Amino acid sequence: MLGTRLSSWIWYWLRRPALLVASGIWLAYICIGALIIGVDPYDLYPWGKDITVASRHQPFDAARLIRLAAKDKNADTILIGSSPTTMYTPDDIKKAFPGTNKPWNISYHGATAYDREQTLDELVEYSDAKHFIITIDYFYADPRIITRNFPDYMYDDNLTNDLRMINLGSLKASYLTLRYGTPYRDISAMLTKEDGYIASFRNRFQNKNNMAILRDNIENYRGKIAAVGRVNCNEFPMLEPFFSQITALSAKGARVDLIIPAYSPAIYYDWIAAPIQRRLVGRTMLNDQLLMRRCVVEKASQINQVSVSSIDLDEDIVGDLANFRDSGHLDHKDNLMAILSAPEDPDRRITRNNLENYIKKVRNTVLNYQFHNSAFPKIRGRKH
Amino acid sequence: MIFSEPFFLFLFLPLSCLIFHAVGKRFGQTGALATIFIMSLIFYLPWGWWMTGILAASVIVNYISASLMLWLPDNRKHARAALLVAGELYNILTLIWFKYNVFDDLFGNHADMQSGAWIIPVGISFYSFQQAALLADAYAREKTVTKFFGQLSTLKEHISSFVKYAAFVIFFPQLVIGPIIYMKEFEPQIANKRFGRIEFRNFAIGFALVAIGLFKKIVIADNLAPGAEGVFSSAAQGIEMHPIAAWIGVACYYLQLYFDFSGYTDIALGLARIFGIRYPINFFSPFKAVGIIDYYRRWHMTLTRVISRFLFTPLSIAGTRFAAQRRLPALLAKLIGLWLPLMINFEVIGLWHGALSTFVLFGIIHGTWYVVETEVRTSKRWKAWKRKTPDWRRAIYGRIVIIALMPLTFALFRADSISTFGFLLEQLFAGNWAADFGISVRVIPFILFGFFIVYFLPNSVELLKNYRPGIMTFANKSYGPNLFKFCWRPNWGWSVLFGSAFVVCLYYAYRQPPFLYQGF
Repeated sequence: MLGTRLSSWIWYWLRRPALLVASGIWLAYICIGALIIGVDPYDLYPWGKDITVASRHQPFDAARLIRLAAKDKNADTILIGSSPTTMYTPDDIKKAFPGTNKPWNISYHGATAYDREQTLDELVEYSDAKHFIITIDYFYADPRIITRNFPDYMYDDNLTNDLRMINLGSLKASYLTLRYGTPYRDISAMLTKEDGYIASFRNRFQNKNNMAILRDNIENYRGKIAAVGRVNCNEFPMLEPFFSQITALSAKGARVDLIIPAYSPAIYYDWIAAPIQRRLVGRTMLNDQLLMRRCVVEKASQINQVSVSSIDLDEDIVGDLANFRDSGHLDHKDNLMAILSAPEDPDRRITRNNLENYIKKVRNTVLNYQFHNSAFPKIRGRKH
Repeated sequence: MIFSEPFFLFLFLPLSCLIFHAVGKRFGQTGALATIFIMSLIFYLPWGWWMTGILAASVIVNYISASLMLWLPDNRKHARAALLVAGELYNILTLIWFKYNVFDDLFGNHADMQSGAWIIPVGISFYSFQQAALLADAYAREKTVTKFFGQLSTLKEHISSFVKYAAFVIFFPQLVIGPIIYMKEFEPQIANKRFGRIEFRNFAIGFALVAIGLFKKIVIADNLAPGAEGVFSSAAQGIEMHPIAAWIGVACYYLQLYFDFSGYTDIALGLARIFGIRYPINFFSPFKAVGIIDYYRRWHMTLTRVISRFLFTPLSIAGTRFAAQRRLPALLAKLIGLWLPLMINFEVIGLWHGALSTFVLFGIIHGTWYVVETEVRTSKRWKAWKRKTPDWRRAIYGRIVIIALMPLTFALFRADSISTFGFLLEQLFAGNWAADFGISVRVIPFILFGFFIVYFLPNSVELLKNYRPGIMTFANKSYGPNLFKFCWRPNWGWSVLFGSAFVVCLYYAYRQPPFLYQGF
């Protein structure tokens, strides 16, 4: 009797392949979803297993770990950045800021002002860290730069879109969390991937042909680089929510160090010449960026325990393109440490007192910049 | 909610199916329609209370207008006409109020609309047109409308009738981007005794259509989007680009729009079919069309037929009558009986997308193109040439014209402004070959894949033709190489294939760009 029932049941399903396939997909997805949401490897919900993270540095998954970092009660310093800061390890942060015990780096590639807003919201709401290092990237100048791959669905108030986080990565993280209590066990593969990623940029940038093009661009766009765009701080709408969040962090007693990433003076020529970048920053990048920095320093000076630092005036570093993996990303350990530790160096702080001087010097450095790459001392432009 | 959202696919939809089946089995047609009504409201609510309020108001006003028109006897002609006018005015005025800001935007910039920042009530263009058509049918006492509304003497009958009507208007598969369905297509299906149950055959067909639609949208259209965005935003900022990059961007948008919109329609057809309802077909290989006349019988067919029915046909009849009564010369008669109604028809199609100068010009170009093709095809020289040439050769020439011109008109459709379009044309035809490429070459495989699907594979309706996936809106000829004229069957092979396509879509589930036509 039971056998007949079973065979008729099997026969029922076998004759309905679409229903079986769809049900199979549905069941698998729901089970995987239940597992991921139940285990909660990114610490999004009140439930889930306690998570320990061996390395607080996951360059390719940092955007998924924001709440985990924010909820980490042991974290004392958190670095919030974008591609110029993804490579800093917790040891680098400890070295740059003596006394730090448990630092996190939640920098991720392709950050924008919109997702930075969500990141800071998470930190304001959940984090007890006493020190935040935040990069003031170029994108704060322009709201046109919109979020592409940031997992905003993980951090918004809408629970119905949380199923979007279900993928093989989160499944693996759940498995590791369940088995070992951490979503990341062996991070060497990810660090190798990050090194390879950075090396690919370096190789594309540091070659004769590219340098010749860059040299040409510097000469070709010299007359256009000083074009004036925005004229007052109200024209940077993304700074408003940013500073209200900085104020909130400061009100919690935290120290906030704002770092202006070290761009090469060549970036202003390079980006105005490249359509993809020009779409992002427009034709008035130099003036817009300098005005934005002025606004940042002025606003920051009104908040307790907030500093702004930069190494833009260190010509030995920023003036030599050999120190970059592309015109907007500093390369090599020593240089990277110089920018990370800038907040600790009073000479590299920008305050209201030295602001005018800083702006003037950066402007002059860019306007008068002569191509220089110590790795290619004899490079000539393509047209020469 | 949007159809590609995992929450919709894995929770909302299965739950809706189960409730629909259980309630339909227990309470029959009215119970099933009430389930559709409630689930559709839940589906729409995440867009916001104010949008739901506008939708509810529209349904209530149109329901009252239609039911009163049906209730009033024929001898109350003026009252019935007044109700029709009032109802239609409500639809048109709400559409204008919420969708168009005519004076500000006609000659403005529509970057906001393209970026999604332009907030208009979701689906208003579609549900307003669907109800406008229903009011006309109610005024004419079209028999399915009369039957659908039924006896309206008691409060219970009114409530039941209203719930049925609301289900017809807001059924979630078609609520946001159509297709625009007539009551005569809907009513016979829900009157069927089998309505109210999920049947395996319908589920299998629906699942296939949903998988096809999701694949079109998520895998193809969304991967083409960066190419289109790059080129059109460069053009908007006046950035020089390599001519090949500009052409790639135009091709990306041409394919993106088709795969996005037709993907949505396939999903809508599939979802409705799971619930036992066939919807009218909206797309039938438009890029294989042999001319613009053929093209409009294959692209957004349900909009074309509504506008033809309520605009072109009455205008054309009135113009022809006027010309005949006044014995106007042939050319003038043609002008007011055909050309002018066609131009108005296309202008309305253009403006239906928004009150912007680009859409105005788009309507003028398509209208003119349609008029010219109509005249060419009725000329003696064409007829003589037609007799001499084989069909396949004419089809190839026709397709060359379509592929040469249609992507450019879609570039106008996508451009922020006419000046942006002008700049883009300059880049396309007289661009700087030394300029940077400026877009990722990763879109190229998707362009090739897209064109392969368009020209060499059967469309979803052809693929499922043995199972009537939808109601034929227009009778269209099937084009395409015989080599690939295979048909879907509810067997293991096809189920695994579409199941795999579905799983591939899930890989991209983390990103959820809206459907392009949600902006219209």
